[in-house]
Amino acid sequence: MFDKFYYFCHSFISRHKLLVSAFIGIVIFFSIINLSRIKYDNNIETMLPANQDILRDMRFLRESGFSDKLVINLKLKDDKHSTQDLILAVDQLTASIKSPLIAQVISNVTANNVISEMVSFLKFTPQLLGLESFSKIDSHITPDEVKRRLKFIYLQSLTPGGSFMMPFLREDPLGLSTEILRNIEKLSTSLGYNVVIDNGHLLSRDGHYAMVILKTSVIVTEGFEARKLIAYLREELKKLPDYICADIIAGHMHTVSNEDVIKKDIRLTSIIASLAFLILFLFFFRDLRAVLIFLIPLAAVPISINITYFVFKKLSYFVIGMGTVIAGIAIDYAIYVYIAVRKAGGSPDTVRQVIRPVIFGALTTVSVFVVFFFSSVKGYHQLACFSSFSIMLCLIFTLSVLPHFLSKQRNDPQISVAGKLMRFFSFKVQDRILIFVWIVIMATMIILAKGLRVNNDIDQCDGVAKEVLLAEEEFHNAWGGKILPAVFVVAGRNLEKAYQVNSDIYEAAIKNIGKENFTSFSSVWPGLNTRKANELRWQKFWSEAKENEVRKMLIDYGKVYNFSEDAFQPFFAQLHQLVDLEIEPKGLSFFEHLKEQFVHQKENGYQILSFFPDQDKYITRLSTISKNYPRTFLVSRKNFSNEISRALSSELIFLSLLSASLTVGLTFLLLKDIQLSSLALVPVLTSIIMIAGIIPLAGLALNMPIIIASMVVVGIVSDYGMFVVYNCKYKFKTGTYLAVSFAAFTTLIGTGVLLFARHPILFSIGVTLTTGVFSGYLSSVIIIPPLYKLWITERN
Amino acid sequence: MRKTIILFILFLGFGVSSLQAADVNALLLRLETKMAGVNTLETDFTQEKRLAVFNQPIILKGKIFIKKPELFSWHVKEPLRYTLLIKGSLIKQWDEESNQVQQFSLSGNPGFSMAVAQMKVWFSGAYVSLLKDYTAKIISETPIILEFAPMQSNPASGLIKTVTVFFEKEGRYLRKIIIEEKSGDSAILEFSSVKLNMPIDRSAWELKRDVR
Repeated sequence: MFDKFYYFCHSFISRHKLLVSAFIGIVIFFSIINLSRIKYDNNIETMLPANQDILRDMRFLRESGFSDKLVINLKLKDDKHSTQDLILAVDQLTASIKSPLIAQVISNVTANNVISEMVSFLKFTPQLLGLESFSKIDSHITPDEVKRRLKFIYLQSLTPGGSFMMPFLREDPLGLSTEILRNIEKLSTSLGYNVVIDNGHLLSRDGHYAMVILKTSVIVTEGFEARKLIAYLREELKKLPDYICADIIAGHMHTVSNEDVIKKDIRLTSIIASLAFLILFLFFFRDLRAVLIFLIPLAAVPISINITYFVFKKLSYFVIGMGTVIAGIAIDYAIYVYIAVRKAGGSPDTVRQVIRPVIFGALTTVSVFVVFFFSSVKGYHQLACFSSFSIMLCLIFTLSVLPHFLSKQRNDPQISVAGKLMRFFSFKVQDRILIFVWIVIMATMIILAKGLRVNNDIDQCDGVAKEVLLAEEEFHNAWGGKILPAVFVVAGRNLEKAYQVNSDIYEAAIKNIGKENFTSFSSVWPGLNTRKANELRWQKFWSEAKENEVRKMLIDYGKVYNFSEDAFQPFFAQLHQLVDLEIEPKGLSFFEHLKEQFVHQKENGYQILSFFPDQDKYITRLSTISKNYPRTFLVSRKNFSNEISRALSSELIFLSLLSASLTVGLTFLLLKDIQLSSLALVPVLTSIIMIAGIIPLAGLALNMPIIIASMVVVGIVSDYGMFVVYNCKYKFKTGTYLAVSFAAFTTLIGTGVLLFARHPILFSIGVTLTTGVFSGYLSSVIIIPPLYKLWITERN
Repeated sequence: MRKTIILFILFLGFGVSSLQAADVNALLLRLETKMAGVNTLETDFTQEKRLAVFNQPIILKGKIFIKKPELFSWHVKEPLRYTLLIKGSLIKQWDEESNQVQQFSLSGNPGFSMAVAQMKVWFSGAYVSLLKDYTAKIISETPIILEFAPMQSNPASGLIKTVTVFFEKEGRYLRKIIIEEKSGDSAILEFSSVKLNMPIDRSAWELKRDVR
């Protein structure tokens, strides 16, 4: 039935060769033309698992205001120029930045009158002092303490800025608001940056660095827009005076730099691989038609891109990058057919002899990718679609078109240089010795595999260029803020409710991990219920007797310093002037700045953020608190990366098992014998054990890219096993060993050049693929034949 | 006719204020040019602070040293020994009462920050750029007396009403500064024994030690 269909197709194409070629040519032509209309998506979220927690954290990080900012770090190059020159350069840069990609430029902080604002804020003191602060107030109202405060105020008056501080000190002579001021200061520095405001400009402590903050609409993971943004800023930075150098510090730089490093690596590896392929085909086969093998994947890729785009409406850049490598694997099927035709002539029978292993080989490779349809990662669905179509198209072109364009005459390539290659492997060593050596190597690798460790850190995927890392190092040295805190998020439909939950969590958190480790907006603005309770406590405390006692002490002890009798009248005047509890501080820029940093308005409510050190012990303790409050969650950069890895790892283990089962199933379907199938799987087993042993030897740890690369290895080397066992069984003279060798060499050229890649991920993929393919290939041609002889031939 | 008169008055008013602005600009430019030649300054000072919290004014006596572009020191001898050093945005201070040296940045000390900004402004000599943040009025041309009032956009406007700056005859340095605050407090700073472009003793940039 299958043979009938094959002969029908073969004769049909043979008769209508030109028509079929023209049809395929037109499809390829339009596919190439349409490539320019395809919208590529460089969003890393496409490559994340659809886990609710991960998506929520990712959305939070995107929208929280961390990812929409870039910082320009300007530095004075020499000591001849002063801070004033630096400020002028900042102003010049700020004035020149005009781009739709940049929503806001912040270089100049309007240092509104902080003292007046603090004086205004003091009227909220009764609502803000909590139970803990009240116990301290009593200790402030003693003769000694009052004398100490009066002396402090007198000394303040002698300092240059003293007179400006007087309105504040008159409102709060006892320093009751000290705790509140400390909390405000703590909140302002919660991200750990050390900024000095000079003439409204953001300067480093030593005055040699200035910071310009840019707000952008460009999402940090959007590669194309990020590139445009960075290119624009680089042009603007070129206009700065010679004595200033500037660096861009932003997540966008990582996106662009990673892409640059990957592109550079891919360009280098593609050039080396292409040259090596051409040299291999032209010199070994000495046949121009061999170029057709090279052209088959090139024809299949544009068509697959169009099909995948049609299905998914957008196409991830990462998928195309990975898919192109996959398409390179598909070249193997053309090699098998080409060598078979060269060895046995271009008759339909020749192709029929290899058609089964070629189809099953392609199906096992496709099965590796098809399982990615079961993944929760949307990007993997695209990868599955694109790779499957690429491989299947290569297979169709290989079986239906390629044989008609090859010479019908036998032209054994062993006569040429290629023959020498096979003679290299025809050395005579006793089969049992070969198998023994193989077992010893496998045992050694299993022992080495004990050193295999798993690395979940997503940072290892960051192959950012050294210049970017150096710029960040310099930035953190000048400004601090190297270690970003984790975030406790309280979400609420209305602000008042969110404030109250935030207050309750603050109370619980400081009891659990200490006040110094938890920075919450609640320390400056608690929820309504808390403020109401505080105000009642204040009213109860400030009885007439207490007020008179304090007034008397201030007047009596103030005489020593010549304080006037009504010096602190503002304090007493506002003691019982209570502010409406429903009213939030208005017109106070410091409060608005803090609120902007900690309280975010969302489409369906509010999110209030609190910060704490990103350490496991705090995450564990605060997670317990979070569980008691619905609509609250923790976002930790470290945790986030672990969460992604965990989700992906468990998914990949499931997918690997699924693909392994499919490979085993398809192998059995081809060979219809358990022993033969087991033999065909020897390269798969060898590759997996070798990868497990070599990864720790190469100083690498098991990660997601290595697991995926291992799955690809299984797809590739299972073909070798199938071909060799099929050949051992049927003994067709279709040059199986030579074909497997060429297929392996062409793949190894592609994977071997990845060992020179700068990007850590490409390098680890290179190590995995090279180890897997090389060991799988060697076990196919060296171990399967003796095993076959010992096991199958002796059985028969 | 009435409209014409109003227009004439408006035009006259506009003309007068334009002339005044042009005069101030020219005068400030002249002062700036003269003070540009001053790289170091050493002067004795007397400061009289009239603060509402005290029954009597507070009188401070001491010395000021300036070395452009970034060094500034303020030494008080009476009523209490106190030293303040500023280099760029960094501040160090010492007082005999606590006998401790404190180092801090301007950002966390709004009162200090304002005072230092004021001192830097009036001693810098860069008066033309001041017109971004202050409106200036000429009180007298010989000797030069100028009155500056912070604009609404200037953070100082919340605290300072006016700053009147008195120059010595030649207009090369300051003779007196009067700062009127919005709270009603005021400070008068008078300078004497002014030395321009003379080498400054190293002790001027040290804390604790008495400056001769």
